[in-house]
Amino acid sequence: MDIGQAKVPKESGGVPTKKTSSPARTGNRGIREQVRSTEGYDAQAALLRPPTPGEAGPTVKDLPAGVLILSSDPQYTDKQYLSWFRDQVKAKVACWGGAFDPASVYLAQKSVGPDKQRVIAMNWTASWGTVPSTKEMPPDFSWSPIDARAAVAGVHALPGWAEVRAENQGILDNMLGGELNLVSRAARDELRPKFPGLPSKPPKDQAATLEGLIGSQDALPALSTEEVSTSSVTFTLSAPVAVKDYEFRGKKADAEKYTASFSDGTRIEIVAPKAPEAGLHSHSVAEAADALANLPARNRARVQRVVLNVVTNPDDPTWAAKYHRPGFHSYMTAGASGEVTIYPDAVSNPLPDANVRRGSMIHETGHVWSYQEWGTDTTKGKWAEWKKCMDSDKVSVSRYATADIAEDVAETVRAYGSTKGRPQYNEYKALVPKRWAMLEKELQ
Amino acid sequence: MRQAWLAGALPWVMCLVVACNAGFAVANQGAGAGAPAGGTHMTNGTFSPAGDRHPGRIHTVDRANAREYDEAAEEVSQREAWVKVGDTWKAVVRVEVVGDAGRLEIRRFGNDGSLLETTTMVAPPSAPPARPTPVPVPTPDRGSDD
Repeated sequence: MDIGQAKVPKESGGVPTKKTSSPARTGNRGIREQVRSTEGYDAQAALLRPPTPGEAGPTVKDLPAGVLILSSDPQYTDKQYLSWFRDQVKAKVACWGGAFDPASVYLAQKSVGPDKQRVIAMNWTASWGTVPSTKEMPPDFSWSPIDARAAVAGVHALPGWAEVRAENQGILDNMLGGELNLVSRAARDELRPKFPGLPSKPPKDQAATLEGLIGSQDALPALSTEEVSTSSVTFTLSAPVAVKDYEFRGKKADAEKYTASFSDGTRIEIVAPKAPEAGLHSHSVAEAADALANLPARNRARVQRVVLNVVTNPDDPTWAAKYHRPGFHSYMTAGASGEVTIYPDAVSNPLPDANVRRGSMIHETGHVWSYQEWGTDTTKGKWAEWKKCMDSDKVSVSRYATADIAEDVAETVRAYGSTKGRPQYNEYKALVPKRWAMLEKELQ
Repeated sequence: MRQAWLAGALPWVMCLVVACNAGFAVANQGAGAGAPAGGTHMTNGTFSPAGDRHPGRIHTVDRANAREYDEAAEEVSQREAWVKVGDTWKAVVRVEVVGDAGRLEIRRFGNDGSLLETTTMVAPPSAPPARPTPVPVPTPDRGSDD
């Protein structure tokens, strides 16, 4: 029996409680042996039977409507973790006023091709709103798809919802209801502590609180840091060519020049020091090429060269003092000539991870692209068009984006480039529809 | 006798004039016309490393610190006043600074208004930032094992 037909086991109080061995997991085999050793195994035999190789069954995409997979991690898909998962879901829906039935979370198995996989499944409760479109929960245990639908259902149930202006209702639905994007998570985290007090307030105050989320800096993530994981092109690196006394920023040193050739036909030079400076470390040539591969094609076309600088930016001490940011250091410079410089850092400091490296390059080259493409007067032409889109959308992709129009463009380009090909893309399309439409036109 | 004195004093006078000129040049950092190109002692922004003269003022809009001000090119370093674009040195006449507690962005613009370069500075590493929703770790239900 698969998930769709599975009987829902009784809540945890009714689950047989024979003591098991150590909770330490030993993989699927260990779990099965452990489950078999409990009295609960026979009672739930239909649910917990071991996978039968070759048995036909629905694949993941055939998951029955209304059933979500909370976890398919073999480490946790065991009876003794059920109550933990129940508590997690209960906490998410309860904070939006939703009722929770522990029996809705149960052990089951799903078919993956010819194999069966043990999962912790959940039957969606209608009062939590529409079923999330994300059927398998993200592995970070954030339960954000459940949180999103429960939040929307919760605010809709408030008498004050009717007092929210119609155009803002749509914006709030997208802000609170995005299942995976970071803007929606931030908006829910901002509203969450206020929500329990709302039902006792007059409807007008409820509406004011809800509408206050729109345009609130506190309801935005600090930066647009969506995971960048969908490279649309591949690349190869040439053998290095030695260069004597290359003029890096702040120091001449011997270098090696590589050519990164991308599958879309772009070729970009990457310059790296032949030997790293003592006490400093930097990204590798392959990591620089990887960041280039993750750029939108229009951004990549603006880049002529990436320089992995041999020393830290010589301007750092001056700028840190002048702009009152002690200890700050440069990470990346993008220049009008199409040169991107990435600076090293002290070996005692960890280098930015792949997501920061890729996202920063999208952001910085987004500046170069927008100024070169749209001109320097940010009050005219495409900039003015963008401003109208900002006013219409009302929501920004990050707090940093609200610094000025140039940052709004760069941060939105970052969100666009980061999410393309993933479900978050369409969530942003709903959150900032006018700007997304403009980028789809400009960056396609 | 007088000629002999002049002949003896002349080299010293010449040395003094040369020394005074050199001192003047250093003191004024090449502020006069025809400043030498590529002089390593010219550390202020009046001239580019190639000898181009700066238009004079740099306007800074520092949104990160809510202030706006002008500086003379001679008051800032050459690196602050000039950016190399390809093989050409371009004078910086406008700087825009935005940022927050963890990040600073410095955009520098040329005389024609064009973006010359943009640099991101980041905060020094500190304790791992608090996540809005810390990743929980599933724990087994000990109660059901009794």
